[in-house]
Amino acid sequence: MVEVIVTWLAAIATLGIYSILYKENPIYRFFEHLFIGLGLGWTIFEVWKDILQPKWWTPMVVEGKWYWIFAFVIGSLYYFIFSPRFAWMARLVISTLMGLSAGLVFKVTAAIYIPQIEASFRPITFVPSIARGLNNLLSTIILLCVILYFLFTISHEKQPLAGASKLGRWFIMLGLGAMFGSTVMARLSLFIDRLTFLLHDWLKVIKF
Amino acid sequence: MEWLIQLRQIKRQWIYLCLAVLVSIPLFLKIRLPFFVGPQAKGLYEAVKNLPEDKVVLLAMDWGAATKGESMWQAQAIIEHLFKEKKPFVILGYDIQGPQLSEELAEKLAKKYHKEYGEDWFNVGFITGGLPLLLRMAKNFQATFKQDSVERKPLSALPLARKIRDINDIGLIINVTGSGTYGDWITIQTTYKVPLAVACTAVITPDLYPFLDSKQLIGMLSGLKGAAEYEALIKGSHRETTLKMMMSQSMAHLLIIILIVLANIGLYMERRRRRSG
Repeated sequence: MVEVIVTWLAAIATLGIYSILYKENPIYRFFEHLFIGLGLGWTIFEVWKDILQPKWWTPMVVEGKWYWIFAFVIGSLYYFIFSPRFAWMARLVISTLMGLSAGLVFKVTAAIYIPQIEASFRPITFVPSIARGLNNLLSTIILLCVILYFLFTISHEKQPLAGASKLGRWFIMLGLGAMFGSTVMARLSLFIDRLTFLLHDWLKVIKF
Repeated sequence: MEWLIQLRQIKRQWIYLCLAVLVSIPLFLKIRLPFFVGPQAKGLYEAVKNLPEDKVVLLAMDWGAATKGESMWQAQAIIEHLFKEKKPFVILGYDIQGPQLSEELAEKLAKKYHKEYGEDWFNVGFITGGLPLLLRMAKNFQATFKQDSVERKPLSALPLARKIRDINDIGLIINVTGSGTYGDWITIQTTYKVPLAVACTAVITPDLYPFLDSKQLIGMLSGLKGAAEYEALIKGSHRETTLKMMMSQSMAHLLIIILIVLANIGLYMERRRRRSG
């Protein structure tokens, strides 16, 4: 019985949200607010259940690790950002975290980009396979053209730089086209999932 | 001629209606278009299959209701394969909803494959702290995640959790993500050389190809297509569902192509009329 009620509520909420496709209306507004409110409520509950209670509240109150109160005091300093007189106290926490983040960025940048730069150096030989050689050649040409497009310290007005730079722009546009195609695919997947829910779980007119 | 020019101004309500009808057709009828399994899905499949027996899989579930249409099918296929292959796994995630939604999937499939919580899998739940937390986890798993999220027991009380001391006990990391959270896992992969695969929404796919080329990723599932590919590989019971959904997606793509062509015909005719005065 509970499952039937939940399915009906989900179906009504889905149709309510999709009513925006016809035109802006109060039903859509209601379900939009409901969705955001539910999401926020869930977030608060989960943050308490999985983070604050086991890692902060229980050690401090139950296990007698009283010094965890300092985490609350230091965290609360953030709110002094709203006071012009005491904003310097918020900056203490913000600058500490910014320093930490800056240190991590070095690690992340090296971890992400160095292997990619390494992988872009490809041998253009047609042994053992012609296909691989052509693939590597094409990859190298595209890489050089795209880099050239972003190289602003030399003039792009004269050939052959102008041609290569223009080619680089076309390659970027092809890449962006592929990205847009993927975006469309992602949005459609979400719609198909909701349609499957309506036809299969709610109306039960299709079977898998 | 005038009706051809009008092709540029089809009301959006009609387009949405056409889309809904076209997408529904493959769900009712058995339509089969060619469907291929790509090397990215095969890479993840092989990595799971060849995982050493003493290693555990880390499932980083960074997805929620907003990307359920793609991520849930991927997560379901991956969990089913792990149970089938008898590979133990841990669930955790940056997204608040991801670990909980994945836990529901795992519980359902655990019954089907007769698997025990705490022995074959367990859930650490929602985590926060970003890369510093993951780096700490890599050095000391037990101290980083003190208890599980389902039974609220200390990790030492779960037989599977006792096996995981540090990153060396993790044989594979699979990040099912609806956003860009894979960056931290790539840092962990590069630092500790643990195999990493990402199952992402189709929007993120183009960003990940360079990581596949540089071998930072051993496999990738792209959106609903990735889920269908993976299910085709494991021949799971949900295969028919994702295949039908993929056919619906192909119909939608067909409609978009037709609409682009029609709009361009309209544009061409309008320009021709303007030129002729």
